[in-house]
Parts: sequence; structure tokens; C-alpha cells
Amino acid sequence: MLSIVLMFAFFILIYFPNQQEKSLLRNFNTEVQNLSGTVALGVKIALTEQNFEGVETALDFVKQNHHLRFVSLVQVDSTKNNDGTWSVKKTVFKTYPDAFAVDVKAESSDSIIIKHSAFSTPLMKGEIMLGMSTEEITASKQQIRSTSLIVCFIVLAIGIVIGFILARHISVPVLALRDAALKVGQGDRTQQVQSNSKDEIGQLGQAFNKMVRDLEMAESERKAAQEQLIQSEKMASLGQMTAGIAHEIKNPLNFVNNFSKLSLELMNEMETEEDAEEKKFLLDSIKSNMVKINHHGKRADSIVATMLQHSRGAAGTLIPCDLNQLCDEYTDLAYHGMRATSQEFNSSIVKEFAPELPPVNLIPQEFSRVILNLLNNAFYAVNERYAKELAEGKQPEGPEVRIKTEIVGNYATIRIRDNGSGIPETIKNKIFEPFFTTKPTGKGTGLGLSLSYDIMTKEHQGKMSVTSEEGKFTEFCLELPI
Amino acid sequence: MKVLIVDDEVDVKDLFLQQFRKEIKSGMITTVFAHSGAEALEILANQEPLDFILILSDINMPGMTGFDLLKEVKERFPSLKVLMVSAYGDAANIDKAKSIGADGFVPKPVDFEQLKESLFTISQS
Repeated sequence: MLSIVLMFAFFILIYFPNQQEKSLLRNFNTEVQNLSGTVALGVKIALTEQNFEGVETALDFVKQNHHLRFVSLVQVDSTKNNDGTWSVKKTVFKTYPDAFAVDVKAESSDSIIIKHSAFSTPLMKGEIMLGMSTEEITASKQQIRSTSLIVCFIVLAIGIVIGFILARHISVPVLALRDAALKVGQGDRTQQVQSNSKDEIGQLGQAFNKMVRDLEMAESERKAAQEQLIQSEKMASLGQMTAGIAHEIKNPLNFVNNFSKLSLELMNEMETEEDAEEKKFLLDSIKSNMVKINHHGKRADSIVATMLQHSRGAAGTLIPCDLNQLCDEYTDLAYHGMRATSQEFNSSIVKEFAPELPPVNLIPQEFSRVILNLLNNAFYAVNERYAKELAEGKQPEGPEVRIKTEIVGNYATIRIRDNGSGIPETIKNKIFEPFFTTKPTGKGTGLGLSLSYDIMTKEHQGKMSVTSEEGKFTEFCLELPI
Repeated sequence: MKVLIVDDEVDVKDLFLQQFRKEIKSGMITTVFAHSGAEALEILANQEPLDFILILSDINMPGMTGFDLLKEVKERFPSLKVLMVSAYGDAANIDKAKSIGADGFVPKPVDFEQLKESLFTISQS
């Protein structure tokens, strides 16, 4: 912008006036030359006729010219030297104005144009030397400069006014729109701009406002849907676990119901039994049954307690837990849960629990979700690989999931390893992303690992990582600080 | 009637012995117990299987599942009758058991009256 202004200033203040001056000077030079020529002719004619008044008249021709500085009648004598060369001697014969001291060798300068026009008569040879002032031209140049400057300022002023009007009407609203758009891009979806004018700018503002409102609504809906999906995922995992738990409870209940009923029958038999030995046998059986009833009743109770612990949705506090027991229980639960929902499912489970594990601080209902999620994924993976290899006519290795606990440094570590198809390198860094899943539509929300990752890192200040070899195994590693 | 009961739960033996005490005493039923599918197959291979009615207790067993065992038994001993007992008592499981060849299905917790009824019905057929 500055360079344009400077160029413009240069053009207006320097180049244009200079060019004008040059042009005027050229014309002026020609004019002065012509004038001197005319005077010279007049003088020549007068001298030829020996009309000395005519000489005055010829000189008068230019005397009235207001540019005139001087006009001189110069006598030119040529003398031959001894060496054969010619010397020219010029002598001022007459000058107007009289007081003007003329230097015959004077040449044109910035302030004066000096032209010579020679003449030759029998009476004398000479020349007319005419000096005309360039004052007017210089003045004219100044005037051009001033006029240009004034025009410039006027145009600038008009430009500023127009610019001001445009700015008010276009740039300011557009900049406001840009700022609002930037803020929306950064997440502030409450931005609205003024859009009162009825022209295109106003329409743009209205369209922008509507877009931001729609964006806010879409974002709210998306958040609600996502929240719902997360809840569904939690409910699905709870549901699956409940199915597993329900199955688990049926076994102890089977014993409680049947042994109690049996005991009643035996007691009735005892009433009518007379043989002492038989009576003792019946009594012993009843006692044994009571022990079993008690045992299986407690078993059912602990299963319910586990279920309650898992379903408690309130934000949990970290409590010291027996990690091995928790992992053991949830492995069985995950297994039964999987069996309850998928008849084709099968897998062997290998448990390797570190014997000297100290209590580990965790939130049981949240941590259990992680274990269940990883085990479910592992079971799914091993069965998928097994089925695939069977279909290909191979003799596949039996599905196997291993769960291992150990202490590594300051962390209690849980490793869940499966001999499934492994995770391809290309997707390994995506598996913890929300909604990422390789399962067919309807089989997985893609939230399990992302939720598990958040539970481990944010709620337990722990770590979660994965190693995998495609076609061989996948192993998830959970680390809890102790 | 010789009955082979397969269940990984230890207390099942005691339960069946008590439930069938009268039938065992009268000689109507002889019971043999296995704690896994593999053990059950071994027993069948070593004994005369024809008078067995095999009860599979619990589809859910470590190693060989109840369904695996059922399939194996039906292939190797097609005349053997099989009654499934399982905590997975939903329709899908029942249908699957029948499709593999189960001759009956009893859900857990077991109603032994119903079990006895099914046993006798099957043994007559």
C-alpha cells in the first residue's frame, strides 16, 4: 500500500510536472528560435536597405514580449590569422534593455533561453541574440504540481469518504462475521452477528446466525446421542454380566432347593424309621445336606453382592481390593456371560495369579467393566479365528484366553492375552478411539476400549497398553499403581 | 436302567444319590458319575453303553462342553439316549440341544420329579 502511495506521489509531484516542463521548454525553445530568426530577418532587411529605423522596428518586435530578458544585435567579424585559421570576433552592437550586460558567449540555462540567429548584409555580418525568461514555464510547472496535488487530495478525500462508507457497510460486518466464525470454529456456538440491513450483507449475517443455531442444536443432539450410546454400552455390558450372573446363581440355587427338599423328605422318613442305623444314616445325610445348603446359599449371596457392586452407578471411590479375587470372579462372569449370549462360543481359560499381590486401590464397579470388556473382546477374537480357520479346512489351535496378575515395579499388572487373529498394524493406534470397531454392525458400539482406557487412566491413574502380532496373539496390559 | 451323570460340580453326585435313593435301593436304577466330558467318554468306551441313559448336567463345563459331548456321543453311540440339564434354559439353547440330537432338556434348578418323568419316558421309547 505504501509503495503504491509513494509511486503515485512520485508520479504526481515529480515525473508528470517534469515531463510537462520539458515539453513546454521544447516548445519555448522553438518559439524563441523562431522569434530570433524573425528579428534577424527584419534587421537584415533594414540593414540591407540602410533603414536604421527599420532595425529598431525589428527589435521592437520582441520588446513587448513579457518573457524578454534581452535582445542584442551582435556584430560578427571574421579575421584570418597568420596561420591561416579564422578567428571570429563577436561584439555587441546594441542591446535592449540598454543596461543589460550581455555576454556573447552566454548559453541557455534553467532560467533563460538564449538563441542566436545569424544574418549577413553588405553593411555588416551579425546575429541577433535573444534571451527569453523561463520563469513562466517554471511557474507553470509549479502550478501543474499544485493542481495535481490538489486533485490528488480531493480524490483521496473522496476515496476516504467512500472507503469509510464501504467499511461501515461491508468491511465491518464482514470482519465481525469472520471473528464470529473463528470463535465458532474454536467451539463457541453462541455467536450471533447483527443482520439488520436488507441487502446481501444482511442476508449473509442472517444465514450465518441460522447456521450457528443449527450447529448448536446438532451438537446438543450429538452429545445426547453419544451419552445415550455410552449408557447403552454400559447397560449392554451390565446386561451381559447379569445373564452370566443369573446363570451363576442357578447352580447354587439348584443345590439349595433340592437339598432342602431332600432334607425334608429324609426328616419325614426318619420319623417313621425304626432301624437305628438307618436313622443315623438319614440324620448324617440331613446334616451333610444342611452344610451344602449353607455353602451354596453363601455362594449365591456373594454372586449377588458382586452384581450389586457392578451395577452401582454412582461415582466410585478407590478402595483397597483383592485384585486376584476380582479378576477370578469376573473372568468366570465374562465366560458365563459370553456362553449365555452365544451358543457357539467356547474357549479355555488359563489363570495365573501372583500369590503375593497386596491390596490394590480401585473402583470395583468401574474396574470390573474394564476386565469384562477386555475378556469379551478376547473371547470374541479367539472364536472368530477358530471359526475362520475351521472354515478354511485347517486344524486350528484351540481358543485360549490367559489372564495373569503380577507386580512390576510400583504397579500391579494384569495381562489378558488371547490367541486370536491379532490386531493389524494399520489399526493399532485407532482401537482406543470412541466408536471404532471391527465388529459387524450391531455387534459392537466401539466404545468398550475407549471407556476402558478412560477408566484406567482417568479414574485409576493407571495405564493401558496393547501388544499384538497379526495372526498370532493380542495382549492387553493394565497397570494399577500400588 | 443305567444312568451316567456328567457334571463338574462335586455336590451333584450326592444330590442324585439322595434323590434316586429309593430307585437305587430297589435296583431300578444304577448310577455312574463323571466330572467331565472326557471322563464320560472314557467310561462309555470301557463299558457296555447300550443300557445307559446319559444325563448331561450343565452345558457349561470346562474343556469339553455339554454340546460337544452330546455331538460326540450321538456320533459314536447313536442309540444312546441323552437328556440335557442346564442353567441355560432359554429357547435358543433348548432348540440347539434338540438339533444336535438331545432326547430331552431339563432346566436348572432341577425339578427332580420332572427329571424322573423325562427319564422314564425316554427309557420307554
